[in-house]
Amino acid sequence: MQIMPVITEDIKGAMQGIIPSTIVTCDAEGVPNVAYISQVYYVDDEHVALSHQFFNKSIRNIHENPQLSVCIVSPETCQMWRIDCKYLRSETEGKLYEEMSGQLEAIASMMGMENVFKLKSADVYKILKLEKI
Amino acid sequence: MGMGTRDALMKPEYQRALGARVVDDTHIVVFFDGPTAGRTIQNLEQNQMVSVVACSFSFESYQFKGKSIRWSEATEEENGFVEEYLKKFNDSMEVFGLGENFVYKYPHSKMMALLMEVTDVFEQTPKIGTGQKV
Repeated sequence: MQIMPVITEDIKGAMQGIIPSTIVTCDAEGVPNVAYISQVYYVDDEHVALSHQFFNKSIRNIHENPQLSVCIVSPETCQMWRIDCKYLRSETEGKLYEEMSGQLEAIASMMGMENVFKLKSADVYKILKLEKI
Repeated sequence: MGMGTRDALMKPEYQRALGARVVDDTHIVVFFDGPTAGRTIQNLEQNQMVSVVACSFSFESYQFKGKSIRWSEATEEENGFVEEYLKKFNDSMEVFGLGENFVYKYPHSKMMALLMEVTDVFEQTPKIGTGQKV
């Protein structure tokens, strides 16, 4: 394992949503919660945004404890990365929200879930650590 | 499949799981790669909290929450179970157009077996209102 300083093209490829990502949060009582997520969206080298659709327990946990662990997988090489993040804010309009909403529609179409996947917010996280697994 | 633990500072940690088997109505064994699970193992040594999510190819998903009982290196028989899981997983993933032997690229050099007491199960199939306790 090694610490990666920047988000490379390989890592961006793992954020296309072809292979669902997985997130782990933790509530105030210390109970971890694991959930699949459609989208981990590249914002810049220090930030990613996650699609908030219906992972309600994860959202409740994030508001109690803003720490998050997310795993993304390259659909080309199967390389995995584990990203430690801290929640910053939720966006429900604007460029980021619209871009993520469009990409989510594409992912939903690919999965046959057009009527299921609706973006509630684009949740922005600061990357604290990025680790190749 | 994925599993989640947390440390003493409530920092969550993701770990890929590669197969699980049911022991009885309240216990499952979860398999994961030891060399890539350093912090997961540290977390399990600090506290027993663990959660596991599993998803079928129809996207039907469930999360199992509970406590770790014990973990150790997988036995020869358990490694055989993991190999069978990888084979079936890989065969299924090839339908999705991913590369040949894609699944075998997940780290699995030294598998660990975690016995977990399941206290709660939640449905997580992607749909409106998902997350209900089973």
